[in-house]
Amino acid sequence: MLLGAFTWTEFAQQLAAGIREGAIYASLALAIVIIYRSTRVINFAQGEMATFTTFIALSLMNHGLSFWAAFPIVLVLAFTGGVLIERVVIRPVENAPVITIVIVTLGLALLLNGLMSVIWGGGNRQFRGPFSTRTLDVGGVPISVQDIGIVVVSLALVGLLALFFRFTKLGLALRASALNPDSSRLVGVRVSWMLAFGWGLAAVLGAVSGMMVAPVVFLDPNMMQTILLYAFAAAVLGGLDSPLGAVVGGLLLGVTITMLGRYVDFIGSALKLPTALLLILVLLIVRPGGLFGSVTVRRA
Amino acid sequence: MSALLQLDRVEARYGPVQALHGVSLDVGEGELVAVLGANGAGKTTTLRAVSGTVRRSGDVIFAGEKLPRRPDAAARAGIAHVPEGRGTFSELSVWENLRLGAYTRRGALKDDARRVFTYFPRLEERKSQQAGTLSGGEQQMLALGRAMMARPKLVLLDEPSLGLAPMLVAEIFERLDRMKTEEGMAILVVEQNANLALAHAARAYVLEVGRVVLSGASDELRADESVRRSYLGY
Repeated sequence: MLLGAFTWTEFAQQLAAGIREGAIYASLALAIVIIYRSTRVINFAQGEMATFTTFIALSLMNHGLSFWAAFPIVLVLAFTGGVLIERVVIRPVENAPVITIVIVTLGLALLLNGLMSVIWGGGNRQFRGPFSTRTLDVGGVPISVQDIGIVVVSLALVGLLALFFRFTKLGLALRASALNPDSSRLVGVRVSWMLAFGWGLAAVLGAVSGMMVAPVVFLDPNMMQTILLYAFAAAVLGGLDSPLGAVVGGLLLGVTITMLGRYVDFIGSALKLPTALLLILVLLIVRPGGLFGSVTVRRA
Repeated sequence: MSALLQLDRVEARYGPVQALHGVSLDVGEGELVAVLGANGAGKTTTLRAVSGTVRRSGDVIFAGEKLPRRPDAAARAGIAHVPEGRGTFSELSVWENLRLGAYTRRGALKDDARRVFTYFPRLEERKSQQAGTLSGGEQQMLALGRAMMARPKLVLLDEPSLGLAPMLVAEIFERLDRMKTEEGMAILVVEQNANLALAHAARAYVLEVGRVVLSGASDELRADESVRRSYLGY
């Protein structure tokens, strides 16, 4: 069954790689959850939005900016872009059935994908990340600086968001609008702007995941498509309306997939995704709301 | 008395159904006014017309200015609407509910919170508890506390007695009196329990199928034969 000899060092390395993958799924899954919670809409354009902003980072770096100089600029642009998309594309269909809005996000994904090909060309690009691929010795286990950097940056952003939601007035208003829009309006919250703000935040999360993953894979307009699938899976695993669930689901999925791919030889790399989805299916049969999600009970 | 709130022939509709057929009423500064009527008379809709949460026409004038019908306009102008079902954010904590009450205001919340807790000490004990786990009476207190946090000039209150034990109802109305006299808030309250409402309100309006059919001082209304028979039940 086992592929090659088992060593604890390699196991630890695989675990680190899994957490790195997971951190990227987690930030993108969180972006999906933020939009889903307030509108019940799954944003299929999330991946393309992330790739688009990563291309902007690439352009800025080609103009001589360092990664860390480009980083905040890209985040600001991503936020603005997210808000604009909500105002211009989503707002007109705000009161339409959810399925209509979902299809609009699919259209948006296609549009952004096409735009990227037009502006930056279709082929693979190398994206030089901020972290070296040199390895560090962490308690006898060699782990790359890049892996550590990706995990730290992604989870730091998630942590910052958690603090924002918990302790700021705006964060509280965002949560309130998602939970109870009618009452939020009565206390003076501009719910419609909160939705736009949520899109802005989701775009920022996507931008970070894009810039983190681009150095590991190659940058091309379809870069995030598979990753978005994993992020959806992570979000569903954690419970679509739970931000904590998205993060835990992302990490869990990253580690599980990496371990399955490495240690269960009939799975290998080709069957990783279907196996992960199968596991999620089994979990959802047992817990329909996901790990942390709430189950809505409706009368027939 | 200068009118704080003035409704001038306000109509409101839900899709094709017209719920208010030209309601005119006013509430003075620091005055407690009741709206009485049977189910479906348009009491709730009257409050919703003020806060702009229903499609309306006709003028709503608040503190001398026409209120725009934007959802957050009423709150920003100083009107706190406690809706049917109390509008509790049940997944959020008691403290977060109170913070949301002060959403339109700047500055520290400590003093206001302390003030709210002198009215409703129970809320301080349950500060970090999830609001949905409170009892009905506590949720009504939370709704009033949330309204107070906004330092409103006017509180719109929909059926505060609904589903509460008589003891609690008396307590709630005693707090309304205090909010009026100590905080100087005007209160427009919709209430099924006409006896109770007339005992606390200075004036009242009686609605029937979307129209004001009777209005006046509480004492006069209590003495009115038709009110006595239809709403007071003796």
